[in-house]
Amino acid sequence: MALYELSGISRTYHMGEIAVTALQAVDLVIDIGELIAVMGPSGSGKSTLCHLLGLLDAPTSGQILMDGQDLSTLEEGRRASLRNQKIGFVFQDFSLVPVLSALENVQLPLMFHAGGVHHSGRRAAEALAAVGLAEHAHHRPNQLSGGQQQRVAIARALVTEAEVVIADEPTANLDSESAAGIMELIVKLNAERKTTFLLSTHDARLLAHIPRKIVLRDGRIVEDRREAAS
Amino acid sequence: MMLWIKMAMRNLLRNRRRSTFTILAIGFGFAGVTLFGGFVHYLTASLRELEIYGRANGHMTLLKEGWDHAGATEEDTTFSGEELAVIKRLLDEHPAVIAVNPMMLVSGILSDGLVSSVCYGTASVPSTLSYIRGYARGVLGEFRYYEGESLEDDVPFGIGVSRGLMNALGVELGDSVVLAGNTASGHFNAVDCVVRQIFETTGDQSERFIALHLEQARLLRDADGAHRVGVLLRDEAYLPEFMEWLRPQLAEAGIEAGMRTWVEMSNFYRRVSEMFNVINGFNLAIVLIIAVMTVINTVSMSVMERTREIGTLRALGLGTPGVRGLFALESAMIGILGAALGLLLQLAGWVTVRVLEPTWVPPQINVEMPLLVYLVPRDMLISTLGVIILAVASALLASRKASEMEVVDALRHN
Repeated sequence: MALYELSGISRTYHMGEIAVTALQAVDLVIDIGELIAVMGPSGSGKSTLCHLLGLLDAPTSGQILMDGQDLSTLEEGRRASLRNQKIGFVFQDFSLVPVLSALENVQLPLMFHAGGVHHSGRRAAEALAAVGLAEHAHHRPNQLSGGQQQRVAIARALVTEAEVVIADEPTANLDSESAAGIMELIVKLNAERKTTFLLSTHDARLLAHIPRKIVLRDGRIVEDRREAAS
Repeated sequence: MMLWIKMAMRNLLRNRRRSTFTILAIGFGFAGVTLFGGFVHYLTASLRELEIYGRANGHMTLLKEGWDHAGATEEDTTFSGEELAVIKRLLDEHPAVIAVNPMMLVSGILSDGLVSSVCYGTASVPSTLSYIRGYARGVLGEFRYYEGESLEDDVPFGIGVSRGLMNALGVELGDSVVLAGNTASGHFNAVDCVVRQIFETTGDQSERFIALHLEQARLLRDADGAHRVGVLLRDEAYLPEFMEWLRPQLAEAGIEAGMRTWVEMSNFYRRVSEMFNVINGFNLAIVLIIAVMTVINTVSMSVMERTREIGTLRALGLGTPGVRGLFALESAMIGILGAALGLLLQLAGWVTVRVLEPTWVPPQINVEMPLLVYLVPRDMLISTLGVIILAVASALLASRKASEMEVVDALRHN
């Protein structure tokens, strides 16, 4: 069943008088529960595609459907609400709030939920436990290693029971061991929870674990292949 | 909500030095304004007491309807003895009235036989004057109005002279003087008096002022009645209702009288109050501008440093109002802490003034008086709320642009 359906998606940025086309006429279907790597060189449109799928940006033309709902014309308030309820984000630099503990960082998206969420502390603790950081719940980000911080970010992405987690270069700032650990965790969560994961990456260490790979070049999809993950 | 508050508090601590200086700026500004406001309150309250009790004018004064018309005759300005009797009877009926003070205004020449000087004064019944002054509270409650003896009902020739007049004539307590002036019908007349007291002039009184017994003034003017009648009420709050009641009563009794509140009667009070209110307003404006600029600067720097964090929060689903709310909460905390510090500094200032007991010569009384600062809970509350509201408004202004930034732009911010 399709989570996303993209048809004829283009995104053009204007830098003064210069127009830069980041994505051109992209058609794409992403099913629920998929684990996808979006690859390509710098400037190929990976981040733009992630931003559009994550409702952080809107296309210049074309249509994006999520669960059958057209996202292209939503106003920002509604987009924020959908981001909060359906989409989780993992950033390259972890992007944790430095003044909050690991538990509080994970709790944060629940606080943005309209009307608040009951038992947000318990749910955040469960999400932290799921990424193996129950013992570090009260540590601040600067007291955690890079790998641990990224685990917190993953827990934060999953705590709202998001349908999709969009991870932008999630292992770029990690050593090999931590990167492998993060990837294992992502594969495990994808398998157990059927959460869709979309990873923007050119880290070859990860690709072996990912069954679907989309390759972008100059804003177009040049390759979309499915293969059995190792 | 607790997480929001924790986050806001920790963000303030993130830049301790900047937050501390902002809080200090607000605190000192707050204390400066409220202390000066407290001083203005002390001053205006003292002036009020002086007008109502010190000069025994009461809360309201009755005057002949045409008393201030150009070319007004004696008849236009003076209540006759019969009219005064009717007025006193009417006023005695009302339960809110606690004292009625008929007064006669006198102008003439005071002489000790060698030197003469023009003089102006007010005559009233001494016991009524003392009774009304007895209601004064605060600094004026303990104020000794004169040097020498009080004027007494049974000593009608006793007179009080201002220090200026005393110096001009070279008279002393116990000296005999002659007060000369016109009778009501325009003839020249003179009465013998004895100086029983020397007093300092207050407010806009002439330096050549006298205080005398009503009977002595009547003797000089060869007239009964009074120029004006001061009315003291149990409480000033009764004044509007009382005036509403009195107006038809006077009309029905055929008395053509005008009513003036104590504020309307006292140009000096109005002038001084307005002057200090302008100064106070000016101080307030300066302090508010500094406080608002400081908060805007603090929040703007914080917004700039945390633009990427704002992008993350927006990506996680925090809406534009939520971002503004976050900064508003931080700013409200700055406002609360600043106001709390301001209140502490204000209390410290108040205690210091109480302990050091400084004195000064106020504009209304030409003698050294204690300098006081009043604590006015209503003003303290308004100032506290004002500071918090302004801090929040400043934060909303400073965070507006960042909150409306595209999420991707905020995430790319370095």
